[in-house]
Amino acid sequence: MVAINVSESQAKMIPEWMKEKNFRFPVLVGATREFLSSKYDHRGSPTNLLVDSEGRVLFRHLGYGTGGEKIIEAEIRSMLGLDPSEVLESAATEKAPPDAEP
Amino acid sequence: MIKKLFLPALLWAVSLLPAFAQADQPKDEKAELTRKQNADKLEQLMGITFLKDEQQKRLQLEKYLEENPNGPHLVTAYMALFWPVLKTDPARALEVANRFLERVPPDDKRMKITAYRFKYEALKALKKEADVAALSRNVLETETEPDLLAQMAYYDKENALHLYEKAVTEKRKSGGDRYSNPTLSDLLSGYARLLVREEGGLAKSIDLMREAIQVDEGTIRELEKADGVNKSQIKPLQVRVSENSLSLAQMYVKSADGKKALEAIDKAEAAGSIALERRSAFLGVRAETYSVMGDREKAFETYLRSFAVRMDPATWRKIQTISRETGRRDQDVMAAVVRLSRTGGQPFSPFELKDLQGETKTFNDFKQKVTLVNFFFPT
Repeated sequence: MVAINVSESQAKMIPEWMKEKNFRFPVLVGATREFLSSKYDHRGSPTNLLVDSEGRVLFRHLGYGTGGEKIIEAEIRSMLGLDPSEVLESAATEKAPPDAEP
Repeated sequence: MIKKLFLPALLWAVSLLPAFAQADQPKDEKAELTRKQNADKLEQLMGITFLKDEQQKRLQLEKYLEENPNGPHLVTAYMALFWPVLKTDPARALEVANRFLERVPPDDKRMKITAYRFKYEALKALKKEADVAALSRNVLETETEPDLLAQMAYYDKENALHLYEKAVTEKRKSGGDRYSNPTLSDLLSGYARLLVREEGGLAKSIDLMREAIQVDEGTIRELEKADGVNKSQIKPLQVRVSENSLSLAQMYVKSADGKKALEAIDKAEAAGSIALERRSAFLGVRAETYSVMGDREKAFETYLRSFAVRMDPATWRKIQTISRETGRRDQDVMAAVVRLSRTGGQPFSPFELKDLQGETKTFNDFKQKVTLVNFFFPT
């Protein structure tokens, strides 16, 4: 996973935020609005793209709600050739509907 | 804070610059002298707005306005004076607004709008609701400029519909002028969007919105026939037809007319290329249309497609409702979202960005793996 910061003015908050949430993934900074919209058609945050090993974008999501991570997890599993329904079944038993959009 | 307040004034000043540039080769010495005086005054004014001491700044701005009651740069000076005063002393801000309004040259439409805005802002800050309504009645009685009438609707909910109605009437009177802003279509659609919220306003708002769409379609046809028209002129009109058709579809959904709603949403999707961030909204209205038509299966499928584009909690609740009613299993529903989310597999654009340690990273550093790229900001 790689996270690309879209708010240059908030970039200085990142190290503290990573520490607080105990995140370890690589974070990239310095992407301007123009760069994001022209290269990635970025239209809002968060946007999640799932890219396969050949560099092709197979899934794209705008927005987020609790439970959305299960969908993304299932998509990753399908890309890795694993059975996506395993995570979906556990999600169904947890009954975690998307309920909030940051 | 200071920077924020200063920005509108600066933008206004910058907007005056082309006027100076045009006068670069003056034939008339008098004109050259005025140009120079104006430039000097602007410099003086900028000097004042940069003052750190708010009290000093206010006094000097008031002095400038006293010495230059007819300008130049009235708007710049009044903006710099008004906004900070509004925060600290709204009663005084009202006095400033009143004085500004008195001094506006009758033919300066833009300045007049600014002056009226100040007055509304001050009255609202003072919570003088009765005076706000009285001001609107006065505007309705004395003003005929469509732009002004429509803009003031924003400040006075009680009279907003009257203001829009008069804006539309005045715009119609001005004849077939389709190209000056706000256009007749802007006013019709703005009026319709306000009216639809009122009880009993639905039928009329549908008529207004239909007319707005027809006006723009007429303009598009006209432009397409004309020679040497830049295609970029047509594009925003198509987007407007698309967005207005979407609103019209929502209005038909509200009046439970599924057939008309479907026609409108078809037009909305056909009229312009829909921006990515709007796609889920269009699909959402399409799904509501199918619901009104009683086609629950199509509605369900369309809500899923909308959710695949944008994970919107409200859409998810609708999906769940239909899902329960039809006895679907949650994991099947989520599997359907996964299936519908799959894109065409476009190549990911390579990048070169710095990480938190300042090291340059390119997309090659992440290639050969399945990668989740998350565009985020810290919260």
